[in-house]
Amino acid sequence: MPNHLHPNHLHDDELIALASGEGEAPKHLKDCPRCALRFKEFERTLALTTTSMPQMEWNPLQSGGFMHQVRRGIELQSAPRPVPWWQPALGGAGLMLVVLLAFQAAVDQPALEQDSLLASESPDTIDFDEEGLSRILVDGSTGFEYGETVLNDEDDELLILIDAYLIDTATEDELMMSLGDLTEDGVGAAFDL
Amino acid sequence: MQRENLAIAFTPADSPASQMSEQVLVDRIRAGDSAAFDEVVRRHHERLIQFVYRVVNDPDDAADVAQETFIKAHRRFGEFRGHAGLFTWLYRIAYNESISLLRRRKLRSYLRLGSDGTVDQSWDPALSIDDDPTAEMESEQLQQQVEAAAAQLPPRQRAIFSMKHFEDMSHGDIARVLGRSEGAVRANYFHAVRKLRQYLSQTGLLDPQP
Ligand SMILES: [Zn+2]
Repeated sequence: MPNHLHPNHLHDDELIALASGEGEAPKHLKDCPRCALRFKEFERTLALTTTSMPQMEWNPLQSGGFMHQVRRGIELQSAPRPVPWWQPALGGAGLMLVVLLAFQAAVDQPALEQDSLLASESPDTIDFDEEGLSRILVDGSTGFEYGETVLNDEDDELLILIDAYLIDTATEDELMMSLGDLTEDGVGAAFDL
Repeated sequence: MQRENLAIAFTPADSPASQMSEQVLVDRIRAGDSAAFDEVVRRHHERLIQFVYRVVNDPDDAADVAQETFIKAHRRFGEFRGHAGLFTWLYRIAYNESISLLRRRKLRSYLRLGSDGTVDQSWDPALSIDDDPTAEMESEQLQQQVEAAAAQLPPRQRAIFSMKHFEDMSHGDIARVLGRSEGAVRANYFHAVRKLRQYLSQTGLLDPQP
């Protein structure tokens, strides 16, 4: 029997759990050089990543400025905000974008799925779907809930995106032309996190 | 968001609020006490910034996302039910804000680059490793390798790894932050460590030490 099919060998997940300090090492780990070596590798992986993971440099003197910005943000959000002249126009542009993307996502779903699968091998990292995309685009919500709370529902993420795009480029017509070129591959790449 | 170096009169660090328990702070914030909210920011901002940094990989973005997290937390404080700790709740907002930022970044680069689906990965430290042979600092190189290894992971796995190892959070708390099941958190964690091992193994960092 090939070594890797040895019935008593520990699964990688068991080895990782042990290396993470969960549970007691079974006797097999002491007796089997193959599992012992692999366990050492996971142990060293965790030791390296937890001790050498870079930290963001943060001087405590920056904290005053940080807290000031937070306070200012809080004050700004409680003040009434003027509506920029281009926002009503963007409402229409946003609606068009949603319609375009929803249509394109609908016409070639198998290709979309394949793209998502290629993008990640993890079974739990594929969370892109049409419904999710529409939700993100329509109300800025990522669909996460916390208890009775729905986060991000006030974010008009779409507006931010279009805003950023308009600042960087020129006219709404150009924006709509670019959006007409969006393929599901592009949409998948943009949202598959 | 612009950062400013302003010396402003803030609630002093040794104010009565600094002595308060989390529950008292929460009650005070609900009653409209801004000094209590300042205290929450003071207690948690550094850890939160580090967490966001590990997810978004950019120091300026990390500070901005952390600021936005507190501003949003203030606005939505009425929705905080206290089922989990305040910090878990803040993490949850910070994680969502981080993912939101990464999505905006990706979509923006996509719109700039055209419709070939190519995504700008210039932020990715894995692509900016300096392989200058004259680099003297061995530990700096090691850090870069580890950073590059972490950059291979999807943001959610980076977040899980960070919360588990740098915040000592339980799988249950991590699951609450991410809005996933504990099983999914465990599966993601195992997957992350397997990927890290594979990457570090390829760079020779897991070879037996002399
Ligand atoms: Zn074995």
